[in-house]
Amino acid sequence: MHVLSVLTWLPLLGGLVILMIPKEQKMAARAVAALASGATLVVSLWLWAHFSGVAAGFQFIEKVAWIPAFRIQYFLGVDGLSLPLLVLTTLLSLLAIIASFHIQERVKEYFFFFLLLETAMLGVFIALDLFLFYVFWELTLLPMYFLIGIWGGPKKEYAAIKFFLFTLFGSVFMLIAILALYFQSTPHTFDFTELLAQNGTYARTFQLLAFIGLYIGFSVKIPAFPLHTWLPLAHVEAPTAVSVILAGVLLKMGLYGIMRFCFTLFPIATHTHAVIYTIAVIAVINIVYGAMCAMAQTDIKRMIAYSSINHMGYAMLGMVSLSALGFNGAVLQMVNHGIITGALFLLVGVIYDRAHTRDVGAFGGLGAKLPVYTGFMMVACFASLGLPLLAGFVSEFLCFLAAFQVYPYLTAISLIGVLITAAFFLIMIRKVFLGPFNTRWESLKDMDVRELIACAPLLALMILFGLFPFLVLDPINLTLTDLATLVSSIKGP
Amino acid sequence: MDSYRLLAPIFALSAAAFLLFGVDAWTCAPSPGARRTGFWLGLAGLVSAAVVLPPPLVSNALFARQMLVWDGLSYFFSWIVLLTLLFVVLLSDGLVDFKNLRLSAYYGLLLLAGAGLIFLVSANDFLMIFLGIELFGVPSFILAGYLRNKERSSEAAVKLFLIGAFSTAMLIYGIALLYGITGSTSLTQLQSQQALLKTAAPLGLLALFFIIVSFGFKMALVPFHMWVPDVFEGAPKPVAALLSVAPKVAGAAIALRVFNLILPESGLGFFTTLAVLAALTMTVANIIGLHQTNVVRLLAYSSIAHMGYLLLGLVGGRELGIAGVYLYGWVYLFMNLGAFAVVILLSRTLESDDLSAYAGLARRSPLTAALLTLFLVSLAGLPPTAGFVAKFYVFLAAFQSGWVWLVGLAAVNSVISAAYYFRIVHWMYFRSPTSTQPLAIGSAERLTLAATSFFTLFLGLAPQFFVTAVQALSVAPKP
Repeated sequence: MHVLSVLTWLPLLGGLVILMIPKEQKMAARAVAALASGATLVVSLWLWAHFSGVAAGFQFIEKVAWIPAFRIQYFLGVDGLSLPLLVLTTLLSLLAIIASFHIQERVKEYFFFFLLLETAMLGVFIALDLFLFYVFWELTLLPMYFLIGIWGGPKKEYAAIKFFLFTLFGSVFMLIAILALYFQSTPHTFDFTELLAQNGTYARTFQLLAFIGLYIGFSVKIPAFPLHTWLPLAHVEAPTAVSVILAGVLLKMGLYGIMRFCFTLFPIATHTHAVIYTIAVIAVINIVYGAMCAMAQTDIKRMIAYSSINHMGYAMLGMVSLSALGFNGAVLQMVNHGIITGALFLLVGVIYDRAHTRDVGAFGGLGAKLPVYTGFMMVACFASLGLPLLAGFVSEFLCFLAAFQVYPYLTAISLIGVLITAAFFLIMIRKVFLGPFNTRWESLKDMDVRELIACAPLLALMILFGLFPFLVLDPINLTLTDLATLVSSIKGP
Repeated sequence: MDSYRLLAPIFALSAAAFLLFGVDAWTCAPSPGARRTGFWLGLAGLVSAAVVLPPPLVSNALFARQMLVWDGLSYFFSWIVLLTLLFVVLLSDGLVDFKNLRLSAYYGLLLLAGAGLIFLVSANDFLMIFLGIELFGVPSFILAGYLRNKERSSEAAVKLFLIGAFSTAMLIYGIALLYGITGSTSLTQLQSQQALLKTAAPLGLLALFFIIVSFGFKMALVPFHMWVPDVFEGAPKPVAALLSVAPKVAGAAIALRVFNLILPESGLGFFTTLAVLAALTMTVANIIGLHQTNVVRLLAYSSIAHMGYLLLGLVGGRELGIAGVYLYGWVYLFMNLGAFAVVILLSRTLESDDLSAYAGLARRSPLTAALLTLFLVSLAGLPPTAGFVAKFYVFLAAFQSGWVWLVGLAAVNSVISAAYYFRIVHWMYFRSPTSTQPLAIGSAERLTLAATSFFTLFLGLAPQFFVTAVQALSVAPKP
């Protein structure tokens, strides 16, 4: 069984099929894209069903020599950290592809790039050879560059290259850290499990430098202050479905990388107070500053983009507690943020497609006119601001709980962010959906079937994970507990 | 093995070249028929040289009174020279600029230049290095000025000539100094008398300095690069393509022979000089590259920058670094000529090399745009292309020898270069086309594009076979 290879390459296969379809057959291209990403979702669900939550270590391992001269391997595997992110990726990809059916321009290329992006993202989450990981990591750049640059908004070209160069700049540091790891290990290797077994032999200085190198590469993607400036631009300019993927999946790659590689390979660096405390402070800045920026926006999409910086801050804060609880909270927060923000971007796309504006002040009283849309939007906003019984609450609570034990003051400061988040979502709801109806929008129609299909599953999951968070936590708990144990057992040379 | 057998490829190229000169003399007026004769004779000369190219000698590789050497290095880089020429000949077919010119001599000069480069990479004596450089240099400046009616072309020829003469003078001065110290021009002698160089320190260093400078002109390292953009822009485009690969990579090969095989343990510290040159070369070229709006000039700066990356292999040294230079040269050959092939075929239809002429190319000719994107992605060193593997290899080599700052700088440079490579992509994909007229692609161009894109992608996805081959060839033979 090469289920992970099937999972990874299935989207690309669909993409290659799309390239062979004549340009005029737009429906066929859409169908193939939906079929390929649908099949990938099915494979990932199969993986979820057959994944053992009580077995330690990696599962469904595939290991083939790729470039034996440097002992580079095609090495794939899944554990509790990557599994939820895989399913999140396949689900959001399918929904985003459905949500892009109305795209009329250069349809073939659009879906090809989208499926290529899906393959690259899946590869990032399951690659266990650092060389392979780097290849997939860089491979996400190209399709994203084209997706933003061709189908985006007014400033799409600038947004595309800014996104591209920022991430590439981060990758430089990552690449050097990876090279350093290679030469640090004996025998030289890029194999994550082998590197992990040797992490006790790495000297302190090396650990610090390599940790920081990898961290810079990952923090661009999170995006962590001060390397976050590409995000508002890219999110706002990208077409709706691409914003969904950007916020829903790409941002998770950063935190995933830190948890997977930084914390495990460099235990001494991780336990160096200055390092981990700095990251905690950055998390707080993300939370408070992100929320304040969101508050200041009048463009709804821009507001949600900044709220992503804020929400990834919560996950970071949970993560730096370095406890099983915090890791659980962080991963759950990543999944929930993917679902909630994915839905929010889709919903903003719905109104933008109709009204051609996203300005908060331009609307008013839409609640009576668009009841279904308003309902959806409110649920998503409430989930995002952390209302109990909806998904966001549980994960944010876990993150704060874990962080409070280690950094009580920082956690207290970051609670300001929660207040501001609640404030800007409520203000937005009041301005857009409540109050007197703005007659300019007399002819606005409620959501159509395509939009409902794209949004409804996410809404359902928000409620489901809000009520039963153990659905996500059960399969991941063991891995994350092991991870916390691993991180806390410092081994020195 | 018999010396004549080892010289066979050079004989084949020279014989074909003189045949072509003869044909040229007997052709009265330029005609399509005569052009085809030249084309096919040129191809035949190249193929016969490739056929008679002897395999590398495993031991005792010196021949011709120790003046020449036929080891893995000579063999490998001769292939790079021959393949470059093959693509250049293919790309010269159907060039509009050549319409009213007799072309047999053109092809003859190309082959003669190739013979010079094969001499250069198999030289074991400074006299042979000098001879090789001259045998390449004289035809190459005639080639650069082949468009007699174009002022820019003549300007390119004069620049190339003056720079060539200047750098040769430097080389000769360096050789003279070395001769004064060691009493010989032979590389073998030099190797056994490395200690002498050190005892005669200021003079020995001066000699090496002159030699590095003259190689620097050949490889177009900063600050010896000024001639490149003007020459590339003025010369016929296939000649620019030739100049962007063959002499630079051959220059790197002979630098590899002199510095890494002959003088690795002289303790003269020239690796630091090379590292500084590498740093300057990539940084300056990439920063100037950011401001180019002409695609040929952009590729010119890109080709300068790539020699900077390649130097990382030289600086890194040891087995990994030497193999790295091989691999980089090989990969660079395909990705750079691929990019030139697209530019050549586009300049025929668009009648411009300006970036703005590339607007909307992705809609006008999706395949051409996709191919150029592939080559540019590879030049930028992004996976999953050959360019990434090559860069990774030389980075690894330099890192291994402790040149961490240089690797860091090279990686930052890759990001800077991505900015200008992607400006071309930007125009092709994000702008609207000004015309929807489809592009005509000739069959020779198709062949070039197929071969170059295949290697650019394949060496990125499955590099193992080639990495093994390169590592085997880069092992120096036993004396």
